Amino acid sequence: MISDNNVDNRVVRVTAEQLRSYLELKDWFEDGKIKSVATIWHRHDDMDAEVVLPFPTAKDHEQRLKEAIAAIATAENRFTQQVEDDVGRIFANVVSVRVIHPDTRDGTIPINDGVLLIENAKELLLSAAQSLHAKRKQFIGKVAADAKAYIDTLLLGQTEIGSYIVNVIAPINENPESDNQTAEFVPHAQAVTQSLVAGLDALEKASSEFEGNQNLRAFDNAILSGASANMCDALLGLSGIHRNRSFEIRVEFQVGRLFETEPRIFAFDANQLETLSKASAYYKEDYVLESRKITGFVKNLSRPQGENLGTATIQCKVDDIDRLVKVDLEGDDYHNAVRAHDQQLYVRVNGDVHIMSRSARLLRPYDFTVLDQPNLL
Amino acid sequence: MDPQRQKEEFNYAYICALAARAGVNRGEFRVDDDSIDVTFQARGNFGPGRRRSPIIQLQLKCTSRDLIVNDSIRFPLPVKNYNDLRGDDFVAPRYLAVMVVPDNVEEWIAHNPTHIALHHVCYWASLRYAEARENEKTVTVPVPLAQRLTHETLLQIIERASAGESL
Repeated sequence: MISDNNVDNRVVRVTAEQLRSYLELKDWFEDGKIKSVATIWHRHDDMDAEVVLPFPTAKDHEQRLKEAIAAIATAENRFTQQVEDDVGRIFANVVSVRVIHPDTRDGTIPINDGVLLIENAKELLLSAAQSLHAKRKQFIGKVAADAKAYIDTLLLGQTEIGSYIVNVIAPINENPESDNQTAEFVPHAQAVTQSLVAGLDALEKASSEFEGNQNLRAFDNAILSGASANMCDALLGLSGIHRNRSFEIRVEFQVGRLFETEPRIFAFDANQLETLSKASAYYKEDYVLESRKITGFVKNLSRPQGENLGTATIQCKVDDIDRLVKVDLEGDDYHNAVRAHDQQLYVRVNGDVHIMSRSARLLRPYDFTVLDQPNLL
Repeated sequence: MDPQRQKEEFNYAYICALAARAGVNRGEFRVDDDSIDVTFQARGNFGPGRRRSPIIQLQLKCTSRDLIVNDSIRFPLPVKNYNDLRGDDFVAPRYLAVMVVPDNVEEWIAHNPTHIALHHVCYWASLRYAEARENEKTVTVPVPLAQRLTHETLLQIIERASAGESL
């Protein structure tokens, strides 16, 4: 049917091939051809419904494609825009980031936060793409070629009002040129989306565990699922410059031919951001373990000539991990450290342990004690 | 109003009157750069073809010039229009409709006690199988006087379109 509702001069965003897949998915059936220029589609449950799908070679292809979308919209009693969106979803996953804050209610967002939002939406997907091939705490340096290629395929959808929503569309190429495609073949873009969901899932669980026991090692297992410092930083970036905005990530998988998939939603409120920040630092091995009591042997000592302050390196376990922790000591404490080193006695000291990638240092050390009696251990 | 514009509007109104009588829907697909002025579509199970709701599209031309030679109008169609209407690879068949009107606009409409008369007549032609031409500006297209566009021929054209064919 011709419907004025659907007449416009917009460029059609979907192809006839995509529309064909949509029609097959929605129980339309091919009911004939118009010579070599189009196929005719009907429905068993609606005699008035008719879609004529032009071949790309048809001279009036573009106009007929618009009519085909309009005909579907009329049959489904929807707007053409909605039909196009759904057709697009057959061939793409959509990751939407919704920012929830009083100043985004009218569908606007301060420009700096808007820029951050888009940048970090991209970084979030990049982190998922990178973790697909290597599970790492942090990705530094050159981006792998396929991760970069994946980012190049992403499309930024129209922003939506409703707090403030940015849509990133990840098109899925189901017909790669590879010859070794098997029944279990998962398109790369689909695998990245799965990696994203797995990573976010794992971060959500780890955050919950950490908030219960305050043990950063809760985040260790999440790495195997795709979480990384990059993912945490991207999430933090979505919260804006002042890191005070709640946000929600909605992942919609492509519409399946055999089943409908439910979207996955991950909500982050402003209170969870501190935990994410700690997880990021933990993954970067640049974090502080507060209020620790360390016990071990003095392995090294050094004090510049003429100085009162020296540094003892204590070989010990921190949260069950063997580490060499540098501790600044002065006066009697340093002397006692020398004695402990000489007599191979244990020492104990309190403070906050700053863990870095290749070293550890005790901050604000206090109550340095030489354990003369082994039973004091 | 510009005289040419007057002709276009008169032609459009004439065609729309035929379509109204035929009971077909008019679509507002006026595609400026595709040589289409009006689109008609029939509703549900129309015609012998598989297409239940066929569409046709018309390029309208209106002239007061004396272009009739023997039994056809020798219409100088701009090359762009010629090429846009030519070919058998359209999903919706395209036609050229040429309306001949009196030179004097006063004679276009006659109000009679029982009816209104529109002068003169509109004719149609299909360029489906027309050959490619090297002309630079216009191509003279013969529009047979025997091919008068009436509400009946309009219906026949749409019936053919249900099978993707032209009359």
